[in-house]
Amino acid sequence: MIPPPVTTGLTVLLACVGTPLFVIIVALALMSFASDQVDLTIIFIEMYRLADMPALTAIPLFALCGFLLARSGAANRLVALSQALLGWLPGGLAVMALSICALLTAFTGASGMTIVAVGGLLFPALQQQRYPERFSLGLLTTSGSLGLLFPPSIPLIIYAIVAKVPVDDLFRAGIAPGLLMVLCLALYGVFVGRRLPPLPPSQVSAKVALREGALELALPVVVIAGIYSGFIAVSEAAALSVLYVLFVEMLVHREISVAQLPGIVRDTMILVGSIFMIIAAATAYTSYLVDTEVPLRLLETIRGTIDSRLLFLILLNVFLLAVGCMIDMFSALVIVVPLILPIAQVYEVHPVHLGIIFLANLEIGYSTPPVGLNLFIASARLQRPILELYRASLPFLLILLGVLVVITYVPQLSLFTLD
Amino acid sequence: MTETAEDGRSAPSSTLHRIEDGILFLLMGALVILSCAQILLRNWFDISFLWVDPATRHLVLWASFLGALVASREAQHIRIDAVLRLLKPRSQRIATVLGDIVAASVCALLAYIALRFVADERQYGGSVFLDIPQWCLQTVFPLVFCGMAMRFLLAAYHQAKAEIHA
Repeated sequence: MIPPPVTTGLTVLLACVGTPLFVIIVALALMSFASDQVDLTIIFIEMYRLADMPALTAIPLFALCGFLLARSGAANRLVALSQALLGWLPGGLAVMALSICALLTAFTGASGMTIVAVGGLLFPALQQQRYPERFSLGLLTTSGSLGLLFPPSIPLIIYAIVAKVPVDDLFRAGIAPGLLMVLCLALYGVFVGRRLPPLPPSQVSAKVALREGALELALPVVVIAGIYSGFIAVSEAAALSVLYVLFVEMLVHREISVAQLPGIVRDTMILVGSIFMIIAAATAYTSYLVDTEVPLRLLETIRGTIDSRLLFLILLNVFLLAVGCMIDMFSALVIVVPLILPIAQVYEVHPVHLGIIFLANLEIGYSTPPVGLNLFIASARLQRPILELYRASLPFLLILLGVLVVITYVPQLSLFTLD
Repeated sequence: MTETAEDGRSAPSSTLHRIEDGILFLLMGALVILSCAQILLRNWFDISFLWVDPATRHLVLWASFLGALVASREAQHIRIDAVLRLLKPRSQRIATVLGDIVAASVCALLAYIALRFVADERQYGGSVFLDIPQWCLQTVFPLVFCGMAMRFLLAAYHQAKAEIHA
């Protein structure tokens, strides 16, 4: 076995020069297996196991849905719809911006697609309504990953696969905590927007807006109902969603042409391919770690120093927030979950609850200075210096951290939906 | 819009890009059609074909590994760039060249191991579905890693050349 300082040092060095993450993980796996004189073809025996994981099929399909929605005019229609429905509410624009971001992110995953897709639309709208600029920037930055707890978000599926818990349990458990996050931020939005003039009556009537946006609004309902009713498996729901989105955007709204499809499929598979590469690499490396009983030894060390469940949860939160702003969500899930899962069980944290804690942390970590990914995406998309975004996202982060405390220490919030 | 990084380079590479994009499109199309057909047949006609499930999973395997190959042509692999982002542009570029060289070497090694793996499977392996020999399904590993090794090397070469000229 290679001594841990060597592996850590090497990882940091390679990461510094921007080596793709999957290469780093594979290199670690290769060196570890080689130092134990194991035949290296084991890497591919492990990677080929990907072809045995049924839920994995859902990932490229839901991702394709997300990309199709993002490329179509779905966001515009949803904005028009919520303008018609929420226009009367003080802070209505902020509330609707949050809801749209959450809805889109549930489909596009933690890819930063939401900020790219709606940032250019919602930011001017918020400015026009005279919301403070800092508020608008913070809102769009943090909502880039808001909605990850809602089905069918890809990180939820990946957690379920890695932790070997049913995907639909996670889909159920995420709804209440996710709603709580949206609700608290929405209240803040109402508070900030309380003195602003209400939106001018929208050009389109509520009826027209509803008719226009209804088909897209129905998608999450169809997906969730399909999975919970037991008629279709998660991967099948994903295939049906693709068919449905294609029908809506190509035949009803006619916003995506056949000629655009190969490009959209390519962009989807670039994202999915880079995620799967990491899953494949991490599958090989974790199998080495498990074979050499690393989680067990980690557990022993931790059990010696942490004696209460509360302390464990606090440390878990701090650790995951740090992870969330350093590493992308997908890699964090495949590498960290197998290490933490057995430990969490000793402290009687339910694996589904652990999943929700994981994702809530990583979601917040994404907007946490100095290196959270959302900050950089928003900085590029909204063309604002990164330092301005640090300050802008602060109040939103504080609110989300408050919700995180509730999510972590009130397991019932996540688990009451399970039998 | 395909040729972002290597704009104006020789035609063969863009033909190759189009072929890759086309294959990806076909694989994903097949995936959607097969999955939907399976639901239809099962729920309305009570028929289900055992080969469809493993077939869809292999489609996903192929499509995602090819997607990873495409990701390396557009330098879109996930990196921990927390540190990289804090560097000056010039050091950033030099670091990227080093990172790409490491990536190329690791991928080349993987391609070699994958070839040995496929050869082993060809000798002993059976078939998963529709009598397709398993080793044929696994050829995606050497193909993709070989392609990625070349792409990382090319990327490093171009970046280094640009840096020297500049």
